[in-house]
Parts: sequence; structure tokens; C-alpha cells
Amino acid sequence: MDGISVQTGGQATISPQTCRAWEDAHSVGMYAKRDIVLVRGEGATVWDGAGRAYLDCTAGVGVANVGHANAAVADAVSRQARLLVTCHGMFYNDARARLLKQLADIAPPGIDRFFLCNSGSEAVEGALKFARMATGRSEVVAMVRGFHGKTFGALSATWEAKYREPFEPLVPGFRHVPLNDAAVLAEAVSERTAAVLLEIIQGEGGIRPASAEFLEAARRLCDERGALLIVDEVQTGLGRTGSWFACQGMGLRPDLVTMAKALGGGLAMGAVGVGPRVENLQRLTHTTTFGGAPIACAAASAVIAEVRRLDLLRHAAEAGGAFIDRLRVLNLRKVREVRGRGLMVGVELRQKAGPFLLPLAERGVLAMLAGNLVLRFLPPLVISEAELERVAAALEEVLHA
Amino acid sequence: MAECIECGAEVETSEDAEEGEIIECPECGVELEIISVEPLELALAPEEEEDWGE
Repeated sequence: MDGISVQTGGQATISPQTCRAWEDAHSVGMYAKRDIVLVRGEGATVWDGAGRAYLDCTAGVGVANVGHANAAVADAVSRQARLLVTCHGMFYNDARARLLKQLADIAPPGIDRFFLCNSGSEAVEGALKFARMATGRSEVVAMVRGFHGKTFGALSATWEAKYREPFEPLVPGFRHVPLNDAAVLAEAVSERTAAVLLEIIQGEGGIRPASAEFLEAARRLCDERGALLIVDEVQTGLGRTGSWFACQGMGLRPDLVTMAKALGGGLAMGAVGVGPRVENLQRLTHTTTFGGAPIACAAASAVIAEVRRLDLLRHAAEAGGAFIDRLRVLNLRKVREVRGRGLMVGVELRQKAGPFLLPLAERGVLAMLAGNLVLRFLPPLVISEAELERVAAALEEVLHA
Repeated sequence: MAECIECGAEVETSEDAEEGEIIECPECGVELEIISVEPLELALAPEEEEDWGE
């Protein structure tokens, strides 16, 4: 067949040109494509079809925390794939039980029950439904610039108009208040509020951290008014900010926590963790065929073990902190602010950030946007200090130009 | 200090603000371009037509 070539090892693959042509012709076009065909990865590095290496500060948008082609994850998936690939939630399963116990060990205090699903959006959907069911209320207070996914419930909580407007009407009862404005939050949370939903550091919204005072106010308001506090840790979770979950780093006790992205080590996986205030969840009201599949659970167990073995919480905190400090002292005219925690880093520019992505890629660094003004860096947590220095040097070069 | 032309909220600019710089309204989040520094004038920043890969 035209365009087919054979890689070393005998695996048939397709040329970069054919790859572009087939994807363009046969996908619905929902993704804005960069002209790069990625074919393999290892650690913090990915390679394109021509063999060019890039330091991957996208990590699949914060997925590859334990690195690309992590051997322990690959072995766990391979082993489980030969043992039992699927097991519906109607049965018990050892891989699932092991993961649930591991999640209970690393979760924020009080969070010890989990609903396993397949993505971040699905985790948010689950959290919203659980909050409604537990409280008997329907309203949700979310944050300006918050991002929680693009399925209908999650999209209703997402702030960005360009994602929302084409699909209105959305789920009723959602409103958005400015992050870090406790007074406005106090006006918004009432006896009709089922949940307050927030990110500890807004990811898509521009790497914007919630203040300790605001988080404290959110917790207090939820307690006073009988609402539940949902913390969306889809992007911040699994060590990204230097603790298992970013809320732990802030001393915050959520009622529900959502996670996904890095959890499955590259396999699609999400989870909702719930605490003691989330009661009366009625059997069969929220289920999913693939949730808690043994193969995904085996991958997630390996991810958690790798974060521990490689001491990635400490590394993310220390190397990420040093990287942020390094970027701050560059003191570049084009930079308005450097924000972030651990290896979740945003560089807000005084102008559109998009035009700098290609020059960065030309220097061997893949980065992302977080809004139009912010360059976002979410490298695998296994990235070394030397590799981060290469990222900083490339950024300095393109912003000086 | 200027007024957001979308929602009317007060928008701060830095002392070294320059023409072409883009700032965000803290209230409604709209992006505003500084089209003049003296006097300070803002306009809605043009919608990004390019696709940057997100």
C-alpha cells in the first residue's frame, strides 16, 4: 500500500507524509494540528518521523508524568494484557482492588472511596452527579477561567465561551465567579448550591494558582452552607506540583477530587475520589463499561509505584522550583509573569504566546499554550535538571529574538 | 487605569505598558490591546485566527 514503510524490528508503519494525509482526510478535524509527526518517546524526549528529538514539555498535556515508554508501566500493561484485559464492575478483580487501595493511600485525608472511569471529563461528570445526589441540590459554582472538560456537564462548568456557546443550552444551574475573590464566592454559595468546583492551579486557564485564603474561604463556605467542595486535580494530580495532589500542598480537604491524565500512564483512565460527606450514592445510577478495567488499573498501579520509586514528588518540587526561579531571573521584556508550582509552569507574555511555539520547536522544545498569552510547560516529571536548563535556554533565545 | 470596553470594569496597566501589549480584564477576562499609551486607549484584542495547536 502506498506510503507504508517498515521500521527496524519489522513493525509496519507509515511515512510522515502519509500520516498527515490520512489524519487530515479521515479525522473530523477537531484538533488544531502542528506539523510534527511524533512516532516514539523515551523519558522526557519524543522523536518525530524524521528522527528529530524534542524535549516534550507537553507530555500529552500532562499525561506522561513517569516518562514516555516507561518500562515498568509497559511491563505491567503487557503482563495484565496477557492475564485479563477486561472485568466489568459487577465482578471483583485483583488489579482493581490493588489500585483502589493505592489510591486511598495517596489521596487527600478523608478521601478513601473512588469511582474509576476513563477520562478527566468523565471524572468531572461523575463528581457533579455525586454532588447532586449527595446534597439533593442542583446548583454549581465554578470559577472564571476554570476548565473541566467538554462533555455537557463538564462543559457547563468550563468557563471559556468559545467552547460553550456552540453547544448551548448547557446544563442549567452553573455560574462562574472570579478565582481568589472570596467576597464574590460568598455571595454565590447558597442553600441551593450542591458544589463549589475549582482547580488548585488553573491549567488551561493560564496556570493561575488559587490563593490559600480563597481555598480556606471556599472550604468554610461549603461547610457553613451545606455544599460540597470538588477539587479538579485532573492536571495537577499525581505529583505534577510536588505532592500527590495539589490540594495536599495547600492543606485543603476536599469532599470530592477528580483525577485523570497521568493516572493511567498513557492509558485512558480517570477517577473520582469521595470523602465522608458524600453519602447516599444510589447503586447503578452512574456506571461505565471500561471504568476500572484491569489493564488500566495495572497501568495506574505501576504509575504510582514509579512515582514513589523515582522520588518524583521531591524531584517535581525541587527541579520545578529551580526551573521557575531560572525563568524569573531571565527578566525578559516580553515576559509579564512566571507562575506555577512544581513542574506545572506558565510564562505569561505581554503579547500573544502562540507565535513562539514554532521557534521553540525548531530549538527542540515542545510547549503548549494556556490561553493566548501564556506559554505552558508540563514536562514529564522524570525530566532532568540539565534538560530543564535546555528548555530555559531555548525559551530565553526565542523571547530575546 | 482604564475602563474595560466590554464590561466597564477598571483595568490596570503597568507603568511601562506599550502599544500592542495585550492585557486581560480581571472581571470578564476579555483580552484588550493597548492601541495608545498617551492617552491610554484600549480595544478588543483581535480574535486569534491562527491555530497554535490547542
